[in-house]
Amino acid sequence: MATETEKLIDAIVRLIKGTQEGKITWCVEGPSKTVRYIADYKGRRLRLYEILHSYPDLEIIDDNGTTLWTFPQVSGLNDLLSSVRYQTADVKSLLDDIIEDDELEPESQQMSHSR
Amino acid sequence: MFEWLTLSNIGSVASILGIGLSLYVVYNVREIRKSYLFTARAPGLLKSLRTHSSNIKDMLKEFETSIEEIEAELARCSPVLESLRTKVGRQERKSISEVVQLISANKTLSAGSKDAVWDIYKELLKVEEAMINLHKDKQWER
Repeated sequence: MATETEKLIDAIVRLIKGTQEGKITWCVEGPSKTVRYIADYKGRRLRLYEILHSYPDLEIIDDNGTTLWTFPQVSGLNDLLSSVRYQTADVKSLLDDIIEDDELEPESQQMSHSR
Repeated sequence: MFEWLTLSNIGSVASILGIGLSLYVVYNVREIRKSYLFTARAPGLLKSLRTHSSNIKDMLKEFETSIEEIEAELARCSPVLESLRTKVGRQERKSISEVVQLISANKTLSAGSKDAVWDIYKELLKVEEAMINLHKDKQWER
């Protein structure tokens, strides 16, 4: 039987997978000192933010942003935060844009193309 | 009544007790050695395991084009896990062995192995969590 910690890790891995596959969409919360990310999942609102020298905090919040429950600090939260940052910064499309940008093509490649 | 209480019999009983005590001491010395080794090596091994599992998670974004890199990253996890396995107790050893077996069962990946890699990643996180907790416990044992 899975322990409580194992169930939490299972849930966090599912959140990472959902985030990476685009099934869960995160957005950056309004201006604050720390960058906070918000996602809606099956009628519940999740908030994720980094704490210095510790695991990030993952919370269930209400519509007013009040914390209802904070996930215990377990392995995988750092990976979730990095996946969320990757998604919200739209890194994938930036990389695609850079790779497809002819103006940024190295000169040597341009020369071989022109031959 | 005390006919058996001869010097020879007392000597025999003492010898048997001595063997038992020696085995107990040998077992304890091994456990202490293992515990010190774990305390000294765990941070480095855990850092390495963290890097590998995080890399696997990143490569899962582009699974089809990263199969070879994931295979290599999984291969790098195995010696770290093996090293941890020799330094922990029976219970932790069992869960590490299960991940090692899962990795060896997926040495060669195909386009359909994505879910299997997610499972391995999940199990790596569980091992990592167990090792972090064990390391915290060991610091109180000193």
